[in-house]
Amino acid sequence: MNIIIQNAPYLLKAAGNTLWLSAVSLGISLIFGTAVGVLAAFRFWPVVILNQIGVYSVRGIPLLVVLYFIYFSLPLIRVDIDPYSTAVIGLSLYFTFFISEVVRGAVISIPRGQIDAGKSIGLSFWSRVRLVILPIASRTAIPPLINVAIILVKGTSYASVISAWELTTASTEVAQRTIAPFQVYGFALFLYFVICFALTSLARSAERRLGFQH
Amino acid sequence: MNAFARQLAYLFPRLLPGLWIALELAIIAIVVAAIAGLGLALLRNCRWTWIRWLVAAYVEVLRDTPLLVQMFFFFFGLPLLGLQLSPFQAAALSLATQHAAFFAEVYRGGFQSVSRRHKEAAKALGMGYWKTLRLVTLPLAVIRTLPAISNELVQIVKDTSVASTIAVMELTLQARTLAEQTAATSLAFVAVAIYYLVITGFITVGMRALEQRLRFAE
Repeated sequence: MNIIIQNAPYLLKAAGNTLWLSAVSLGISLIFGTAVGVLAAFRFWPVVILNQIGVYSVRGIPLLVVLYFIYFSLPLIRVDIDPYSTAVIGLSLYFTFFISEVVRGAVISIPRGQIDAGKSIGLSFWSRVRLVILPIASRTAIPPLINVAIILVKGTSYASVISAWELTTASTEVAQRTIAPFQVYGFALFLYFVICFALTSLARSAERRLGFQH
Repeated sequence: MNAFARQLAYLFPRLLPGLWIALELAIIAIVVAAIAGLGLALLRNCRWTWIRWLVAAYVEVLRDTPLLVQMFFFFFGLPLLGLQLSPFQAAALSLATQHAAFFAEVYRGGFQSVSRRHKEAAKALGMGYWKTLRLVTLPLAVIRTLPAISNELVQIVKDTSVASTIAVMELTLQARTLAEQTAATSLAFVAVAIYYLVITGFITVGMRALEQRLRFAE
């Protein structure tokens, strides 16, 4: 127990890094995922193909392999960035196609009349997306998006294999230093649980609030 | 392009030993998790509140923590309790424990979708609890959740890659070793990604065919 108390500040700082890594990756993949999802829903064909390839790849290839691929590829094209940024690139790329599918599904489920109504009052495509499509789609998309966020937070643990400093990396350091892996990894699991359980509860209340039953 | 193809041809056979280990790991995890998950789902309808509560807590904790840290916990942490596991055993154990929780959720959804009338009809025919489960509830639940089960199988195959972090020589670690020791570098991960896509593709197609075959039962 003493070991935990002594190392708690260090591990909490690492948990902060995990949160930061998650937030940045989630933000980037939300932007790209929404763009790809909306355009794919409108059958803009280059994006439809891109989306298909991306979704198929993400479904079949482990995140760990994608991170390794990027980590080993960057030196070949003479790009020298820190492991943390490499992790952000990998996570953002991977989760873009989780989010694009959610967004595409939500946009398709919007009644056609709503979009036509926007058109008939003379809104441009961009205004229709901003004022009609996204507000309506967000209602259906928010609960599944929070679930994607949970998968993403758990996925940031893989950043440790390319030596980005976050909770899992820090736990391994502390576990090796203190020779108390049971307690240290147990505490790390607890911290991950706190983050993800908060998100799970958020998803549940969002589902209730937005009036969905599964 | 030619050099690219030649390198891939060099890599594919060298990854095969890893493929077998990954498949072995996936099959063990799938069998254990599918059975344990069913047990958990049944316990969730148990008469005693505290057991229901315990199962719900197990599912929540296992689903809300990363597999990688669970694996480290089992592999590095359990020896302190006197339980020394080989890397393969620790990987299989943590894959099975986490996916048992996911399977439990899948079955739970399936059981909820079976209407009370089916169960009442079974009761009217004089079937007991286990007979109803075996002949009515379980088949219906499984058929309805086949797409979710298919996702689970794919996820387990992908998750075997995490075993590479505790030195199980499966596909991903094999690729990493090749990437570091040969001139193949990141191409090794392209080759390994193709292997994963092929396995998960087979699972998806196979499960879809099974769905088609079983649809008449509805």
